[in-house]
Amino acid sequence: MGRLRCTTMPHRDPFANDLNLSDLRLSLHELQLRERHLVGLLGSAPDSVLGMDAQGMVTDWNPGAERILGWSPEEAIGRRLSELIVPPRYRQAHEEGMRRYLQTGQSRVLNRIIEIEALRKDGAEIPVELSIWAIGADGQQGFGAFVRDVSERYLAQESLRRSEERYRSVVEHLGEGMVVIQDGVVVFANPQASDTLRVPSPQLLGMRSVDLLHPDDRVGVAERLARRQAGEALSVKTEIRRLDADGGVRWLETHSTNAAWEGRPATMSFFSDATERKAIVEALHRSEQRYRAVVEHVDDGMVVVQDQRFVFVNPRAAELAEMSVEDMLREGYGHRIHPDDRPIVEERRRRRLAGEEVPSRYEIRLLLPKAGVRWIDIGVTIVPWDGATGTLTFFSDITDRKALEARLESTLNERETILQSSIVGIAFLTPDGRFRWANDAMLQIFGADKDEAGLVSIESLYESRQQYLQIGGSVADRISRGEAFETELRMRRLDGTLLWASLSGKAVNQFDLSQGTVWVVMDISRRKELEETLQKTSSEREAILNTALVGIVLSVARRHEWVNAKFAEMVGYSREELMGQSSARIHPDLQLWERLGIEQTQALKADGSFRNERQLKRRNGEVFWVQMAGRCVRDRAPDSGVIWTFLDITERKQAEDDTLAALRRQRELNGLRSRFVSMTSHEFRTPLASILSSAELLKDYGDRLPAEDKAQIFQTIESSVQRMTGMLERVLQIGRAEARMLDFKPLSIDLVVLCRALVQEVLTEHPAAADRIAVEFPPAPIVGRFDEKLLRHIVVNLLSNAIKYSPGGGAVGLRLAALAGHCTLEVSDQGIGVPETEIAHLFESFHRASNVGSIQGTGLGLAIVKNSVDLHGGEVRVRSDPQRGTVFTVRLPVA
Amino acid sequence: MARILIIEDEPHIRDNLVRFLKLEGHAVSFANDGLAGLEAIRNTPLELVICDFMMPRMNGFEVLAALQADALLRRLPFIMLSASAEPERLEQALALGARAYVTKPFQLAALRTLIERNLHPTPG
Repeated sequence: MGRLRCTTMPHRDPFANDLNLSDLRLSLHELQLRERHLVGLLGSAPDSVLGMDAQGMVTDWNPGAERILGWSPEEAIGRRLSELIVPPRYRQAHEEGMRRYLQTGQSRVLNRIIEIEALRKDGAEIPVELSIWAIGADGQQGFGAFVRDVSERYLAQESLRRSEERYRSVVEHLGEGMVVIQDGVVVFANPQASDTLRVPSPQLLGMRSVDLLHPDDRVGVAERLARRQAGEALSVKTEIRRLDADGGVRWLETHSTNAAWEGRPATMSFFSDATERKAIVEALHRSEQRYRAVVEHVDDGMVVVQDQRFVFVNPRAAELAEMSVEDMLREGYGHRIHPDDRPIVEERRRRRLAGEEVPSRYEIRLLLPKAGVRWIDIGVTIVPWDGATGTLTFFSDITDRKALEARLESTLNERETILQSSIVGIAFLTPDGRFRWANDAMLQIFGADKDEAGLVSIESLYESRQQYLQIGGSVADRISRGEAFETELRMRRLDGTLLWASLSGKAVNQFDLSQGTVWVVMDISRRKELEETLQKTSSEREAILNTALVGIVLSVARRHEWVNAKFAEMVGYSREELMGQSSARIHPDLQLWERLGIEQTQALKADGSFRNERQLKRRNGEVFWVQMAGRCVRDRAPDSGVIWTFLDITERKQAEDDTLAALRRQRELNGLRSRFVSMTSHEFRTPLASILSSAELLKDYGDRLPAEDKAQIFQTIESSVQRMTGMLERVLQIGRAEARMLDFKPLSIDLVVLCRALVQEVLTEHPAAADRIAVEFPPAPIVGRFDEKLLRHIVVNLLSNAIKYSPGGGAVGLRLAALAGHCTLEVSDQGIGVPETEIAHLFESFHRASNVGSIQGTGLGLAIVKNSVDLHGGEVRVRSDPQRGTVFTVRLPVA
Repeated sequence: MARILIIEDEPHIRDNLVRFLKLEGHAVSFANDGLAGLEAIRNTPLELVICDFMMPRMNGFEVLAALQADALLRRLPFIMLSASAEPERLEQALALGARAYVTKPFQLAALRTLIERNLHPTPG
């Protein structure tokens, strides 16, 4: 040990031998100070600092050590450190280590920080960081140790490590694929994700998440993602589709959650391939459905018996036995078998079990719990059932079939009776017309029941031999073709009296005429008699209806069942053309016809009758008025048919229309008269007042009037008389025009020249308007055949009006223009205009617009203009805007 | 002698009335339409007004209504001339306070009596 120590302890204390005494004293003092300082420092250190001597006995123990390890300095100092803080399992190693160090100077622990568990006073072990250093050379003076409690850090690390391990093992070995998506990109994927998505791991990272989805699912997923991020709580599980590179589609079951990934929001999605599971589930589901559908809804009952036990019963089987499925499983149905059928069932079973061939189908009766029996057709087959052999019995209800069979049998029995006791005569004849068999009725019809000989040959029953031959021929013809022969004819009884008979015959066998014929004969004398009477009566009645003066129709569902001659004549069709046809053809308007249908049906149902005036259309398209009245064949039931009568009221309607027109004319005349009266009172009284006052002045004050005044008064009289004459002329003019007596004497005239002269004439009347009139005449003459007097009325009236009705001034225009075949004369002003609603009446005599105010006028000027234009075969139009003025345009033909 | 205003748009009648009243010794003024007439009434001292019915700008009834609304002018004698012989017009004019409603044509002598009666009403 000494040998080793010499070589292995090269470090010596540099201060140990090289200090002089004063230095030493100084140093001692300093050292004392430093030691106190150090002790203070150590005392307040949070970690434990402790010392031990070379034997491992504790020499120093700071408060940190007490806090961490639990021992007080008093308890610790002097004790072996290893006993105090080293867990028993490390003690041996610890002692050996120390010994080794003291012997060899080699240590694995000195001057290093090691992590180890330390023992506390309370026996608990805590993780610590331990560092040990030697004090003095070779540790002969002991060791210092530094112990730091790292429990918390250790715990944190440990939990981190465990969590990471757990996480890794979960994520890596998760049965599910898992990806983390952040900002729409895959930032993490586990190996299973790569497998499930069939995308290699490196490629998967950084992929856009939408590219992982089937195109059809992208919108839906994006929407869910947005909703989830907005905070909506959505079911986390969904099924989405994955479109593989090879074009295949697989179902993935996914569940996604919001998660933080490296501190930022992300979506964590787990998914697994659900395609196969889905397919299996679906297949199972389908198979189950098919099975259930077949077994439960099959119209046959199904029962499986195994080892004499009922192991399966479907609902239909139980239903047929009128038991519950449970009862049938428990009790079987043996007790329900009809006693008469039990032996056969027993026997069959016995033989089948004995291995004999037994018919698999037979019919038995089941006794029903309430009453009666049900016929069941049973079919038995051997089937494997749950791995063993069983018998599957099908039950079908054949009660109906049985009932049918029973009925058929009785029918056959009855038939013989019917043939015999039928009131219809029935007979079988040989090919040569001899009776082979005839029933009682046949004998009675021909009076052979009292005759010993009975019926022998049919020939004797015909009215005559000729009839016999004739009918015999057509009978042979039809019968050979396999058809029935039918006719109504007069026949003869054995006693020679005649009867009407209905005869119908047929070959017994079409392909073997030798088997003869079968005949049915009925005595229809009474019916014939009735028919004849009816025919007679009907034709009488029809004759009456047909000669009626009103149209009569029986219509059913708006179709003419029957029409009389008068109606046909009214609408211009033949009766045959009308009957069977819809009534729509005689109505001018389909929509009106449809509306009429609704109206009349309502009225017929409510009141039982319907009356209406309406226009109908004749075949030639002409429309005429009728009064129509209908009544149901059965009261208030239009479906039973409706009897209609039609009365042509064209003349009455015409009279009504004429009356209405006359009334309208009367009203117009009244209007004209009142307008005339009002015009006269205004327009005649004014000049009369001038004349009368003038006359009085001259008479009573003539001597006192200056000559100038007298002259003016005479002038007043003259102009007033002229004014009245002018008005009278206009009234007469209109009178003549209305009486169509206006003279029209056209001469060849140049309109341009005439208009120039007329403008001058107007200006003489209205000198103040000289600078307001603007004329626009074409350079070439407009020569045509015009009546100069009438043209004068047109131009003078229009221009005077233009000036008169623009009291505020404004331009008055006269424009002439020649066009192909005609010319236009346009007079415009910027005056008061004509209210829009009154334009229509503008050209009526004595009509004056409501906005004329006190502007004087007779209301005749424009009426005269209109008449004058009309006589020329032209037209006059007016456009007016009360804000902007009026334009009259006269269009005259130029020959 | 009285101050009389004639409101009439028809020049012949107006001129004859002016001549007549002047010859009768009155001080006569005239206006050519209702609006001018109303202005003249308000600006001139008058004893009587003769006013036509149908006139531009403002008709006789409107002039009459305006006078009735004015406390100072309500009692001014007002004779309405009119080319309308409808009884409704007469009633309307009298209801509005006209002293007389004279239909055209009229006799000057009759008008003179009306004027006299209204200028010097007999008591009672």
